[in-house]
Amino acid sequence: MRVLHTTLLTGPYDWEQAVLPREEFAGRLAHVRAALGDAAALFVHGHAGDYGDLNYLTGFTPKLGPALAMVPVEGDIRLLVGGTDLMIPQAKRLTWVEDVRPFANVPKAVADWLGAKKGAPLATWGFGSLAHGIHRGITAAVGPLTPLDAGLDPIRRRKSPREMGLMRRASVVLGDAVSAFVAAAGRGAGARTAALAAEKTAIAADAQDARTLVSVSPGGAPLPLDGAEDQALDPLLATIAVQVSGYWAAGYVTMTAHGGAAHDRARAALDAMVETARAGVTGGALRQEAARRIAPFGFHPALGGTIGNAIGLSLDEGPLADDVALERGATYALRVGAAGEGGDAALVSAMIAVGDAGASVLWTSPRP
Amino acid sequence: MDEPAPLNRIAAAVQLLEQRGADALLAFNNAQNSFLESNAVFVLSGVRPIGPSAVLIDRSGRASLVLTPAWDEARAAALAPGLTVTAADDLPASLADALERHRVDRRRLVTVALGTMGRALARRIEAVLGGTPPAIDDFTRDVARRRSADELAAARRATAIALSGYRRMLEVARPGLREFELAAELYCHMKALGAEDNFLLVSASQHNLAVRAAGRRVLDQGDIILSEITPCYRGQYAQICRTTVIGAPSGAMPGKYALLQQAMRRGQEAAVPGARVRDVTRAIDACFAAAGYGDYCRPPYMRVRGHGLGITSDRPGDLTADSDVVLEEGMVFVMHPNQYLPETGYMMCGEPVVITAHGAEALSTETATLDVIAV
Repeated sequence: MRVLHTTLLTGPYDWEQAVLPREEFAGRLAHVRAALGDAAALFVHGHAGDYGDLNYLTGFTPKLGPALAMVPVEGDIRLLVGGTDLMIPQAKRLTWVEDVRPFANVPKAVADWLGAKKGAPLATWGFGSLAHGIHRGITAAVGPLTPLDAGLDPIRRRKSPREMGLMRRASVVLGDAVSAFVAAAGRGAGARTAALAAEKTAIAADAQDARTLVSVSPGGAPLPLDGAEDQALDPLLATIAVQVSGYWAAGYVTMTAHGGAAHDRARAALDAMVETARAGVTGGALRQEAARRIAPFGFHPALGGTIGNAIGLSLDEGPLADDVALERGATYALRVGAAGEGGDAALVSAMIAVGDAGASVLWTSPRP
Repeated sequence: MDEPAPLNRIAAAVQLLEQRGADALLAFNNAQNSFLESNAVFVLSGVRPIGPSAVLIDRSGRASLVLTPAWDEARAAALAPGLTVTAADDLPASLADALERHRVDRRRLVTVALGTMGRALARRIEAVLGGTPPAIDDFTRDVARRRSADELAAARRATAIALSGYRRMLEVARPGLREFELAAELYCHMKALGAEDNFLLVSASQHNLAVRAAGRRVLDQGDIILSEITPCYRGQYAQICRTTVIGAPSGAMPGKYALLQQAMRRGQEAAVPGARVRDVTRAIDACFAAAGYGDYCRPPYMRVRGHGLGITSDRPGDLTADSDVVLEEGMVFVMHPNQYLPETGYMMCGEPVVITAHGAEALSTETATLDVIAV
């Protein structure tokens, strides 16, 4: 799910030891360090729009601007965060890492931290979204950097029991938000009012973030609310995402008073995908199942040809492309949409966890 | 009727290309919005993109908006009359097509904000461009430094939304409420009024050192709530800064707060076209110095006396005592003589202003006072 980037994350992101204690992070750090090979250090980047890798290791959410964790193979992590010196005490509340400093003159900060290790092999994680200019500055200061995302991303996708509990909790809050949306739209409220009802409900249920996109025309793709009239629409399509203790749950909703063939087809396709889902099954196999059930309708263009992605500390932890297999221990958002004639359209989805015995459903779109 | 601001700015880009002997300008946005930064794609198209995007302008004045994701095309096309809009899921491939359509010599390109794009995407874009063209990163923030009539109207609407948000805070803030619950209430209230985004800092303490994003702290009697409320309406952020006491304020507070209000007025008077930012800053600082707080007019007690507002242009930049930037009629920024004083802690007082011939006119219809929530 993509939405307009917000300039400041306003939710409560203080590190809650009772929810994710220090030993949880110690375990993650051990897994990551074991995958570093001959690298002398790992640099992990995140910014307010994309911070899952950084959060996984440090628990830190960059509310504003970029942040960089410098991770030695042994010893303490140093974290550089956006904002002025005055903001450092507040930033420290957001992480278990104790050495927190301002994100300023980063190439020099990296070189100084490396000290005698300058020239040794260095690895990165999450640097694909680091500003190109800053990346150039760092490499000029300390030499080449080797991305390890391909090796580290699967570690992050595999959820611990604690993480799986948080995914379930996020899915419950998603269900509450969707119920509020459905109730408001069912009373004849406009799309904006229904979306805000969903967001308010999620926040009241302890969500750190809640995001919605809604149709601005009957059956149209869910879009940002800016400029949208508060019109009651049928069908009304929406995307709703909530974040609880760092973990995301996201789903699609279709509201229509008339049932509609598109919804029946989309629902059958989603049910077939969930039924088929288990470790090792590829995105391509799921797509085939969906295509078979959805014909003669076409896939809804709002989904851009995708059928799902891994989800957790990021809304998208990796797309389910045709050659990508579902992984045991990971959680996914599966989705399918159908578009027919005269605005007959539907988007539905499910949150699933892939375990030893197949997939369990954490949440699924309500039937209209 | 005036032309939309993006079209005037495209004309300015053509002039720049002629001066530099370049064939085309490519301006980028990395899909992030900062209330402190210029968004080059918004400035030249009127569209706040959801995904990484670019505007291509050639010397004939033809302009194309190339944005991601593909499903966002209809929204963008409605917001960007006069530009050819192409939405796709792969920005570099789509850019390559646009460069072909415009018949641009890739060796004669200039860019804006390519360095802000994510590393992975930027490398693929550079492969399409055949290298790293010269950067003129300040172009969009310079060309958009004075707001158009439409933009000023949107900034006034954003200010009205901010004031409504603050009034809502006076209604709902009470002991027992958590900071983030208060922030969420304000966020939803302003979103219902049309705010697209909000840089919203709300925090409280019995003795504040600075304002910060809302946390889990529970509001209490005697707290001083600091709020920096910054909704965005049609791409225009407007910021108000307020100080609110739960229960009776200390004896010293009203008098000390009057100092901030006086500093605000002095700053507004000094901010005439042609004045330098440092003159405005010094006029504000002088009020505090005259009251014996000269040592508190620098970090860590305060940092800047205001700043530009994105996403159109962050000019005139930070209001500091060493800024030589010259103020021009039509510039919009926030002026905030927020101040830490040892007797009261940090207090906030600020309004969005537009530079007029007579000084800085506040866009707010209600200016900051020391407000009290009775308990």
